[in-house]
Amino acid sequence: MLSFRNLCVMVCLGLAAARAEGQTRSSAAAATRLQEAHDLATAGRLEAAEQAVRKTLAAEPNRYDALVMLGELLEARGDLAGATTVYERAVRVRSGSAVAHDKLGFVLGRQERIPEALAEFLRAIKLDPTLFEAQYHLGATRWYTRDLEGAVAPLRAAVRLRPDHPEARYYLGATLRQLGRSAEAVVQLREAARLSPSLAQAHLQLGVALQAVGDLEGGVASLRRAVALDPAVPEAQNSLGLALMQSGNGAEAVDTFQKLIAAYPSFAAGRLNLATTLMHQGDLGGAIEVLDGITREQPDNAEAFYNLGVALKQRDDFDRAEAALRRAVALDPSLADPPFTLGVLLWQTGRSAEAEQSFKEAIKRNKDSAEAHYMLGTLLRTGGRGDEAIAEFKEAIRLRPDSIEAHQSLAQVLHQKGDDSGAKAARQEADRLTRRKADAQASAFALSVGRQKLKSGDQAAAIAQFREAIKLAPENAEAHHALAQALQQNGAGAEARQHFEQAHKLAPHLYPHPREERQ
Amino acid sequence: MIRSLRPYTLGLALIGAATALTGVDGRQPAPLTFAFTEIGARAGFSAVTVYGGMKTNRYLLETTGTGAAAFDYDKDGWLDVFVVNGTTLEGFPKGQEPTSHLYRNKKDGTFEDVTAQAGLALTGWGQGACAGDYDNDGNEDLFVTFFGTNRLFRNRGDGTFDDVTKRAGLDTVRSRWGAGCAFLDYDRNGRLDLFAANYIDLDLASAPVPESGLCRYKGLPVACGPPGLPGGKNILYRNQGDGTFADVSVASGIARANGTYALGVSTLDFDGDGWVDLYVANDSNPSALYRNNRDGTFTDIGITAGCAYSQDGKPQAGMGVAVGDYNRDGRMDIFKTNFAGDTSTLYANNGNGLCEDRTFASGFGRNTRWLGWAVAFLDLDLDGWQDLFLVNGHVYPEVDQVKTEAGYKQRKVVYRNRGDGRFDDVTEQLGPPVTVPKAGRGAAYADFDNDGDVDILVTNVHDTPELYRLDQREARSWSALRLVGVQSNRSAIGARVVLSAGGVTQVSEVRGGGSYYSQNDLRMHFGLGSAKAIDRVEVRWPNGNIEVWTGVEPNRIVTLTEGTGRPLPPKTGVP
Repeated sequence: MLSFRNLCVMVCLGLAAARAEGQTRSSAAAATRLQEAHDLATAGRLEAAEQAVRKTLAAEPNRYDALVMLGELLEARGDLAGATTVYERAVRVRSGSAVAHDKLGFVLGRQERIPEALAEFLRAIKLDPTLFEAQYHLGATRWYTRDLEGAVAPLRAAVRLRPDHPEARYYLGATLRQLGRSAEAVVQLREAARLSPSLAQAHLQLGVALQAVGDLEGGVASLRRAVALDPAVPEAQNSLGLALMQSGNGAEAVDTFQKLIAAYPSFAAGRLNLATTLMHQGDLGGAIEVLDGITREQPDNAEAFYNLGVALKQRDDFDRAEAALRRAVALDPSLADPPFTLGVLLWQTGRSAEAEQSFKEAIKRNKDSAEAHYMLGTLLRTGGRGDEAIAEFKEAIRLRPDSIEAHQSLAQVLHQKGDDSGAKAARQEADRLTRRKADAQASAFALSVGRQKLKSGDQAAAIAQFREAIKLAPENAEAHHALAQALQQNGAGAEARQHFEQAHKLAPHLYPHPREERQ
Repeated sequence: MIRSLRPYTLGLALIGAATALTGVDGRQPAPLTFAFTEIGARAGFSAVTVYGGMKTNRYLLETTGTGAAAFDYDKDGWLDVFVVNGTTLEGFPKGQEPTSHLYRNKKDGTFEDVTAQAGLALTGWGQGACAGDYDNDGNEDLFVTFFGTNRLFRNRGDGTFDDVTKRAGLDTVRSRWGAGCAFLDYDRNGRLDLFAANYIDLDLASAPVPESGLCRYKGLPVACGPPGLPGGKNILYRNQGDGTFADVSVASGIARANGTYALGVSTLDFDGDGWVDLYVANDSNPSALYRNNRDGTFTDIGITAGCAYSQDGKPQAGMGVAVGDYNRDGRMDIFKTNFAGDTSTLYANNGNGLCEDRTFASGFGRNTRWLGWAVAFLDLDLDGWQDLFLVNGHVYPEVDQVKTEAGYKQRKVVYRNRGDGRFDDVTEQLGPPVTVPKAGRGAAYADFDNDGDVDILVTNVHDTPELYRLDQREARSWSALRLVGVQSNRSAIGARVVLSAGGVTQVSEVRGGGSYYSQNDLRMHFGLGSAKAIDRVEVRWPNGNIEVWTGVEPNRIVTLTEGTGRPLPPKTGVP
């Protein structure tokens, strides 16, 4: 992220900030030399600039603004240790300087002295919470060290202080996306990409975030831009391939992964994802061929053995599938999927006792696996161990409250145990969830039919379908937006506005507020 | 009619296979003593079943295919077959539409197309068919379901049929998507009533299409549904005894099922109380087990009885239904075919009003590639154990655009019952013709050549029907019973038979519907293995009366008429 242009800006800003902090009694000569140094640095003559600064410091060793500028010049030529020493002097000279602490923190961070860097950023913020750089650096460093929760607040502060800073927006968006807050991430990343259209990483993160919120088309478009801007980033091609697969464009996904693998043979995810895409498309033979290759070359690759097991199982090649899954189980004790899928295979082939052990192993590896608890419950129920089954089903429901089958199975076993009121409650919940799911599907269909009607010019029928979509699923933001547009075209402005507002309320990342709606 | 066993000739069937075969537990399966020969073309089944688009389907309407009804329309003791036909979205010029066909059994291994004479050249989106003598005049009548209006044809007894749909009160005000059907005497008044399943309430004008991108299979845009589309409601018609029917769907509780999207239907007496129940395979929804409450109403106990979902509690895409006593415990079990990527389902009847899912325990967990439609329990090798024959074919013709494991056309799957609660997949062992891929849908399971074992007439999409003639390699005894009701309905649908021979007791029923969209042989077939004599045949007639026969000769088709046996006091429960 740190370019030479940015460094010069930083030097100038640093100097301005240092001056702004009030070096009120500088000698005229020193001030002139520092101005010269500044001009030299701006012109790219860093060595000459450094000499000019050193001359100033020779005369005034504790001149704060000179120390800051020297530190920046040393950073520019890669002498990070030297810059550290100089910044430390600056902090000693002026301990109340937020800028100095921030600068020190930044150079420490560049040397991977993270805890010290974080401490300096925090000191800077304590001294001056409005110092953009300190907030930004703190947030970015926490993001870098995977303290995502800790990164949000300083990055939000940075964005508030400088709303037009694309990198601040980018880091905030990336952090939110990685925290699973994709809708919020989309807002930030969209802005980052707008402010800096050539920021490939912003388009990459935006693409992944749009996928996560269900805007597959938008996701693919953003990822295409990311790849076009910086073809040398394998992650972008990989994400594009995944987005294409998810949006049903399997052939292009396969093509993308094949190009990725050809360009970056050592990019592990590429081949695995190619195999997954082939499986998605039903080409199990192709997937197995790719995975066989990976497992031959990398006999310790648990994920590859796992995917191979899944592909073989889908092909009804149970013996080979079992061998591959057992290998995956043994290779990586942290992966919960292999023992889970092995459990399913054992159950399917009539080996319930072994399946039970496998599901228990999956739970041991990931106690929050709703599926593993559910499947264990199923085995226990069919084995006549009702009380244990109930416990597992309840845990599955706790972890995934919208699991229809867990409610259904719980109802069945409660009924068998004579708890009719419990069974009735569980069944009612299963029914409610089933209806909700069916209505959501029907709503999506009604919306699609409405769009067809609109295309064919039958506006009245389109509006009827959009209304039906909303009646089936009032939370369908797309339907509200579509109805709003149709009503507006039909002259029903007031009602249209209501639905625009509702669309925005339900999905602010997709639909701007009606005030901002471009008609 | 006496028929001697024909010695088996090899023909095209292969013995064994190139690859080593193992059963589900690693054992080598036993050598097979039966084989199939496909004689459809030779037998005269020449009409192609036209059904929707050949390469792509815009609506699910184009995917379901058609069924067939095996019934003896001319009462000559040889089963004839009615094959339903469909159409396309584009339609055909008047006079050139594809029609259904009635094929008369000529008793020599061939059939004659008598459609025109019979008055059964039906056009439109035909679906399924079922047969039964609803007016008790001794002639089997025919009910055909449609996407549109279902139709009832009264057999005049002279080789022709009369469309009595309107007269009988079966004309519907609006179009519906009829699916599987079954005649049954649910109120035990001696008259056959009629059950018609309904699939989707489909309005082509407002149905979503593949281009919407919402409906994909392996990434391909395909016809949408059923989830998301309004489901159809099943119908029960009560026979009023005067040639008319009354729609009692609501009053009887039939309309109050837990699920929808009904396809395959079969009658059965699930709880052994002598009152006929119904099982309906639903697509993407819990399947229905309508328990007859004996008061004119039904309750769908599918979910509470454990007969509705997969073993892990999920709704399946149920298509075809087979009913039979696979483990010889005297209770009717249920087998259902499902979608690709899923297994079929075997529900064992545990006798306490519950189903126990034995799919995986019985060895059915290893087949998930095939998409199943028609299915039946039948004793393929006459050893006294019910085997299974499944018809497969993918729903979406688009699947041929990708390299899937099983394409649009698929092989059959044949399971042999080992007698120990488990089945072996013997498809590979059988080889062609069962391994020849076809876009199969419905099938009528019937003894077309009256040799004591059950043959299979299969309907295929955009292809001619196939007739799989079953032949035995070893001489084994058998019994075929044709039941004729007198006080009970003439077709004896709902009758239950307990046959004892050689120390083995087998239980079966005369059933309405069955398979997928089809009507199976109303005669009952029993394999007797090496037994030389039949010790006892007990019949519980649909009206509850019980009679016993002794001295029934094996290896012949025997007619048992109500009132000619030795009566026993009525009882409930399993023998």
